[in-house]
Amino acid sequence: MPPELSDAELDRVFHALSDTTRRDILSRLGGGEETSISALAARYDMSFAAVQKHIAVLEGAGLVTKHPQGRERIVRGNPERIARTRSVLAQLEELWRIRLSQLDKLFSDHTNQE
Amino acid sequence: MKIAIETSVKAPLSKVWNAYNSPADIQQWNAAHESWHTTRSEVDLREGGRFLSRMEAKDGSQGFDFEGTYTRVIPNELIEYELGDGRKVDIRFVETGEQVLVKVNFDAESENSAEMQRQGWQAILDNFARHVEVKG
Repeated sequence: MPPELSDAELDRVFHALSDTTRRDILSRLGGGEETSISALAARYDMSFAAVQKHIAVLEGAGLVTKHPQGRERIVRGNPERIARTRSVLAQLEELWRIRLSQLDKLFSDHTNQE
Repeated sequence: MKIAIETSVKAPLSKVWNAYNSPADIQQWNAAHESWHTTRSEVDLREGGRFLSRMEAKDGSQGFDFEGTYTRVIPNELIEYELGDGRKVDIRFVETGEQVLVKVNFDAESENSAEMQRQGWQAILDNFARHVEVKG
């Protein structure tokens, strides 16, 4: 597993994910499925410039990459970035779970003493 | 900015036109590289009609739809279409002796170099010319 995401990278990822359109774009990718910028632009009821901006935010967060293919510019998802973001949340969850169980233990010890 | 590319095809005009627009032919010529192919093609060749070509890497690892809307169609002469990002494309079919010149003009996008875009489009057009001539 490559090094963990920096705080700045995480900020960009969560900012990128905090938008319905951008999450929708991501949901169309994956499993080798790519999409052209043209196809995305046609799909959303907003200007081409607005769609381009959303893609740029996703790209800046490392969630997608862009590359030319024949007559199109193709957008491809980066599952590794999602996996690393997920592991950050998993660590947080684990930390909370441990603290909760410690708290539980504390309460039950206290109760037993009474 | 517009970029112009062209190819000449040794075949009758009607054959060139049909090969350019029939889904069965498109599946055979529409790829920029031999590692890619078109697995499905839909063509509604009229003004306002849409086309869609499903492009996939032959190893199945990647795929996307190439799609657009026809804005003008003059049989055996001219096709104009628009891609979803607003780029406009026109294709002219010009008979010159025993050959047909296929001239494509397309709006460049701003993210990749003109040369890179030209190569991508030209590769597909070259494939088209080869396909028609081999088919005979």
